[in-house]
Amino acid sequence: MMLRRTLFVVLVHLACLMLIVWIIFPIYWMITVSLKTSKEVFNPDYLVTNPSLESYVIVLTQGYFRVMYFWRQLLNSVYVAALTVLFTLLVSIPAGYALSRLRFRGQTAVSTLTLGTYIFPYAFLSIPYFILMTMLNMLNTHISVIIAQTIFVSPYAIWLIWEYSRNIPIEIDESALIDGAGRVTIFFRMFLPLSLPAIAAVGAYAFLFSWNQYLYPFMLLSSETDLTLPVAMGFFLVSDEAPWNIFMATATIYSVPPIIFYYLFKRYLIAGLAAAAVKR
Amino acid sequence: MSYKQTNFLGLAFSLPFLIIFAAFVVYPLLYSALVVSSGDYLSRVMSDPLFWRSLTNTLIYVALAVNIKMFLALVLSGLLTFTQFRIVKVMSYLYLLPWAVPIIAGVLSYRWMLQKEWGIVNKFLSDIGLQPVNWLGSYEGAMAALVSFHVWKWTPLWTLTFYAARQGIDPSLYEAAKIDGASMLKEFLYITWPQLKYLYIFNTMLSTIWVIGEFDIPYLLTRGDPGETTHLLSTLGFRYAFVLLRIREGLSLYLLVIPVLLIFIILLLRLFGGRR
Repeated sequence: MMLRRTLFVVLVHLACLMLIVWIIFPIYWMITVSLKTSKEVFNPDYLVTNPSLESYVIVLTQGYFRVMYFWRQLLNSVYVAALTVLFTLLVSIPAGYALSRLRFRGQTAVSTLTLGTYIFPYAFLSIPYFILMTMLNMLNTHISVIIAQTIFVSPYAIWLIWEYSRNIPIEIDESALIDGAGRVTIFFRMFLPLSLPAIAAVGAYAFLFSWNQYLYPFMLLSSETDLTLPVAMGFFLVSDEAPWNIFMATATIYSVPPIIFYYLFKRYLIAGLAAAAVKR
Repeated sequence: MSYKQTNFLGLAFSLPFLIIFAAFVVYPLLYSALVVSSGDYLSRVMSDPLFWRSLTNTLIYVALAVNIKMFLALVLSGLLTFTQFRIVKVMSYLYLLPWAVPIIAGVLSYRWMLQKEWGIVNKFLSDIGLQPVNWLGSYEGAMAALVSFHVWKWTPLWTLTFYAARQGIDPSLYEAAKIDGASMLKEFLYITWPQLKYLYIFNTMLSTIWVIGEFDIPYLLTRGDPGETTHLLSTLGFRYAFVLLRIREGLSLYLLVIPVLLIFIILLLRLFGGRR
């Protein structure tokens, strides 16, 4: 019994150790290579012996042609993400309220449509969307990217708010109605403030979604000064030259905001997923 | 009182979503269907050997990536419940990182790790006495890289759902099993699995739908290379449209996949919609 217990403890530790190495290594390697100088890049050592911030300085001062518009493109990413968050909130909060608190004809259709859109892999909508944007003369505009992202984020956002508001007692609405408040007043005065945690989760989710998007901005934007940073980073891969330390520094910088966001909003993101998982 | 019909308000509040959905999804889809049906683009796609190759690749990729990932997520979520070990505590802080790191950043790191001459993976292989592998320069190597990146990136998300579901299992069941002297395998088979199996099937179906449509990972990691052999349907359609500039063929390839996906989605909602 003692032996089996020891064996079990050893196995768990071994499995965890292997998993941790596997999980961490690509991130560790990204940071390690970013701390090398251009001369050391081609020397694959597991550890970086004398870390240098050279590549970060090059990226932040835009001192290499692939990162010539670094700040501009970073700002584009922030701008597109911020507006995606705003639009998503405008679309999803009222719809979430309608689905959870109101009874109306077509409600089932709306909720099925929301879930269906959430599940649908949006890559297959890209070419039709591209054609529409061509017809509307909206190529090379940030708004075209923002609209597309809003559509793909909203279903999960609606669902999160809908799900969360189940925990807000319906009696609050009922007593407000008895006191003569209208539905719209209830929405602004009670539903909004009480749903703040869900709204924060939706905002974080929309931000992360937009921050990570590649396909739509890649397809819709072409001017170098309009690109979001992931699209610009995609072009690193077709580069003949390979200053991988600079590429990795860019990648590391771009990964920092989502990691911070994730740790800040972890509780909310997990709560949404947990609700989803336990429900089934 | 709360069941009073509020038809007008309900629709009004849902309207912003319905409008953008109709204008930017339904309308372009109908228009595209019209465009495609006006020519024999579909038969041109079907006669391209690369289409059949990409279809096979997609099936291989989905089968491997989804199943390996889901199994690993189930195991990892189980490991995370042994919280009395410090290493598990460490892992519980770290395991969501791949999920938080943007795909493009992860891919950049992977590409350099897998580089044939200077990559750390081949250095490690030669350090332990194995032959280096031409990862991204061979069909098998590139497909393996795709699957392994997908598993690395997406296991955390599914682990989270299993972990959350495990928290919902009544702990007294395990206590009773302990008193009866049940082995861990028995605990899993008779307590854990029956409570997790619907979630496991649901996750597998949902993930299958998503991975059929995955674009970023295959496009950024291999872009069809070497020699256009590793295309998936999503990247092939994109190549038709934006590299070969035959946008209608790309369109018809995508429109060919959409009905199949819709069948899967309806099946999924039918099977699990009632469980909500």
